[in-house]
Formats: sequence, C-alpha cells, structure tokens
Amino acid sequence: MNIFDELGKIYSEVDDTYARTEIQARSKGYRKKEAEYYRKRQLNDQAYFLFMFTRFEGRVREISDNLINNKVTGHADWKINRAWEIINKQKSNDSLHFMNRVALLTPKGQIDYNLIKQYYDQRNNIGHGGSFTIAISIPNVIADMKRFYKDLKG
Amino acid sequence: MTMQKTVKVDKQHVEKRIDDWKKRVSDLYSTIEIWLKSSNYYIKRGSKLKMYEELMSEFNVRPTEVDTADIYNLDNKIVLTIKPRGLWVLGANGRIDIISNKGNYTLVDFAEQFEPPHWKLFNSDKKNGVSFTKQLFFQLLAK
Repeated sequence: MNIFDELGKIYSEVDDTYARTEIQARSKGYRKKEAEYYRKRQLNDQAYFLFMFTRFEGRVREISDNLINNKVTGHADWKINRAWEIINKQKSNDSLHFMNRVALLTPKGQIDYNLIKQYYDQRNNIGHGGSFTIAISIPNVIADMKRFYKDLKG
Repeated sequence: MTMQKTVKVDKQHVEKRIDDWKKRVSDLYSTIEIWLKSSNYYIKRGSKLKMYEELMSEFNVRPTEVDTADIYNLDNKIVLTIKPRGLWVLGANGRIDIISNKGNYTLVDFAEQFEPPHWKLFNSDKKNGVSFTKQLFFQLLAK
C-alpha cells in the first residue's frame, strides 16, 4: 500500500466515525452537535490534505533535484548549461520556488500544472491559518496525488 | 496534453454556476425520489445549508442556501443524509456528502460546467469512484 492509500484509509476511518455521530445528531434534532461534527469533518479534510500535500512536495523536490543535478553535470555547452547553473544555484540556496520546480516537471499552463497550482494555493491558505477556499474531495486528492507521483518525471 | 478551456469568470458567471448547482442538487433529489417509489424508504428535503464560497465573496454575490435531504425508512428513522458540500471543487463540478450510520460517501460531479451531471461515488472502498446509479444507491441503503 502506498503512502496516499495508507493516509486515505486512516482519513476514512476518522471521517466515517465523525459522519456517524453527525447523522445520529441530525436524527435526534441536535443541530448544534450536528454542526460541530460537520465542522470536525472539514478540519479532518484539511489535516489530511496538508499531510498528503507535504508528501507530494517531497516528491517534487526529489525529482526536480535529480533533474537539475543531471542537467548541470550533463552539458559541456555553456549556452545550455548557463540556465541550469542559475537554477542549480537557486536549488542550493533553497530559493527555487515550488511551482518553478513543478514547471521543470510538467508543462507550465497546462492541466496538470494548473491543478497542482490550485492544490498549492489551498495548501498555502490552510498552512497560513485559513481554511479551504474551495471544497476538496479527499478521494480525488488521493487519485490526483498518486497520478502526479507516477507521472511527474525529471 | 490538452489546454484547459478558458472561461470568463465574472459575477454573472458565478451566479449562473450557483443556479446550475442548485438545479443539479434538486434534480438529484428528484431522481432519488423516483428511485425510491414503491420502496421501503422515502426522501424528504431537510434543513438548508448556507452557501458562501470564495468566488461568491470575490464577485460580491450574496450568500445563499442549498437544500439538504434525508432518506427515511418506514419507521421514520433517518438512514441517509445528503449534504451538498461545495460547488467549486478542484478538478470537479461539485461535491455532495451522503452520510449514513456506516460512514460517509462522497458524491462528486465530473461533468464539465453546465453539462448534465456525471456523479461518481467515492468512499474508502471505492477510491476511484463509481458511477452513481439506482443499484448503487440501494446498496448504500442496504448497508
């Protein structure tokens, strides 16, 4: 089982537990308790989304690092090498922006890039104390992350 | 790889999407109502949920409400609750939660904007989503 399936399984266990309490509260007309558990499920979504995205960030960092290392050492031609030298410097001093790393691995402006950007914006929003600005379905996140994990190549 | 379709997003577009969302939710309830005819269950539209998503705030669209629904058995006990969770979903066209005593199922519309919905159901067993059909719905009720 890969890490996203593993996290997805734990996520579902927690979400299902909260969901059961939520529907029981609704059945009894306990509106406050129902709202409380609805909120808990939202927070659970956020927590697991962040957890999954950090795993994905690690993957992007790893394969973009490998790509840069290969490019820097692979070209004798200065005209090609100069751009990679600059990128390599940014990598080394940790100033290479995450989305620029993504742009090294998938065409900028196209579907995958745009989707990762949307996820990244959500991650930043939650990470800086906000909540989801748009709804996220964790099963979709898992499917997307697994696909990105497999498809993104240096 | 194809480029994404560019859509002009303005207040009118956001309002049109909200109307479309409410219609898809309402149509879903109507479909379920038809499915449940002559069964041991019935559907009742329940309390409303506040809807105020990011784009609504961005384009000065007033908060609105969207219907939830409950499925009851003949003992008048709720067996499923249906709650629209959000219209603007990454990679999809809306999310609805179907909550039961066994846990939560997520219904996601994968149709393009303003196209007839293509609902897929997810839960921990159905990671890739399966088309939401009458048969599947009765399986949820039987759990």
